[in-house]
Amino acid sequence: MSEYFSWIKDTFYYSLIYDDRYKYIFIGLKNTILIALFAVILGVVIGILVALIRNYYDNNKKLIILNFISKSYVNIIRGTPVILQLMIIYYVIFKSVDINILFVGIIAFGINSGAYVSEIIRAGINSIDKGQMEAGYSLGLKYGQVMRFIVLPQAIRNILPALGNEFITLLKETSVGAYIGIIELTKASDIIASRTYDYFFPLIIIAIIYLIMTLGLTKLVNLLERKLDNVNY
Amino acid sequence: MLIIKGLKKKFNKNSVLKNINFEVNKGDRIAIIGPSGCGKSTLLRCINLLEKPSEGSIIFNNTNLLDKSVELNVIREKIGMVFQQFNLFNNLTVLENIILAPTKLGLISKSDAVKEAKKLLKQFDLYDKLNNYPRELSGGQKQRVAIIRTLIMNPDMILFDEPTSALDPEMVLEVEDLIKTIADENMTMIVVSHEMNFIKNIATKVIFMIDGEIVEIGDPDTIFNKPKDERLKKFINLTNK
Repeated sequence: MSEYFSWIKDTFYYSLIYDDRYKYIFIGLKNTILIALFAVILGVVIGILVALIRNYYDNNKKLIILNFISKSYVNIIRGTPVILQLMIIYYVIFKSVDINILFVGIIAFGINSGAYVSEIIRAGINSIDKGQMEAGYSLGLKYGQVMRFIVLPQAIRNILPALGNEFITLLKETSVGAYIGIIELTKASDIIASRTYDYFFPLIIIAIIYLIMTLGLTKLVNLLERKLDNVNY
Repeated sequence: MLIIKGLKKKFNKNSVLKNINFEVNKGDRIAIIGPSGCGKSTLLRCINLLEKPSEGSIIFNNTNLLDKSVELNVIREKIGMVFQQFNLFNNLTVLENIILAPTKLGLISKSDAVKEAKKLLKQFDLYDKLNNYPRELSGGQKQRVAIIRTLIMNPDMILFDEPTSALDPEMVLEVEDLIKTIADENMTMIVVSHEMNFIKNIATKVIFMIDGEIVEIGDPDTIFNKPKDERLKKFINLTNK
């Protein structure tokens, strides 16, 4: 028994304390959060744009080329693995550019997330009864006004919780960034393990950190859902 | 005011409207009747281009609405529409529903819009619902708010698409009364309805449609008491039962 404890003590010491190795975990955590946060912001911007283009096309049969591009974008992103997209963006597109690798991660995960976010927003818009739009049009409002004042404020109730879940997914997905050398959580644990030749502790630690973040965020999303259910319309 | 010529509408290969022709003059109150699925609602929705006609012309105040250069939203300001399902904006209060379009379109200032909306709400006995959301209203109240929402736009004409069909029987009258009040103020209107007594009461002209075609047009007395077409006779008999 005491052998067991001393093993835990040792592995804890060499994984985190010795040589200030805990700093890798901090850096990894910071980068994971940074990438997920900015990627989801980029994803929301792209997602809104793509969703509106596609919805405008569905309603007015205009913007044919933009709609085609948007649709292809969604299909390509959703139809290929994120790790492949990350590699293409890093090794092909930014190949000869001296660029911060975190930035590459944000761009890649943002582009990836945009496709999923656009579908979330599209579904949110489509969940609103068509009569709402028609009533807006019949009063002389234009597409943009109908969207802004009538449809989106209602759709947001369905969109927000789904966006929260998308952020949670993205937070976990950033671990793929390790593949191109981004020091996020997973890579951090890998670095520590490569020094100590002991994978157990570093992996368990980051697993716990991921869990704390995702469970916490899930709680927040649930709270948000309940709040939105109490809105007066 | 409104001239409809050779109007056709196809959904895929299915002809819903086949060569519709009629005119509406200022002050006319036209009722469109006919069995379900005859194209009444589609015809109404074609007039403000919520459905895009396949062929023909719709000339409103000397403008052909099917011209590519027409600014549809400007035209729609002048053609009000009241829907069967009310379609009040669920995220806005009664007052906000009414003033949204005129203020966002810059037709009147917000304070004037609020003043006007309050006046109309008072007139039609809905003032106490000012700050309620649509889901807190009865069907009849919703439809009356929807009508006020078109009235504040000061339209040249209002289209009513089965305005009382979705209402519980006891609420039909309050909506019909409101429409009657507007009719008495000489508003031009086209009403699709199944309420024959109501139509007899307010219409100046009745159009009977079957299978996407106009079978008979006439004043209410002729249509209801001396119908010529056999199918119209049958329809009138059925609805009188």
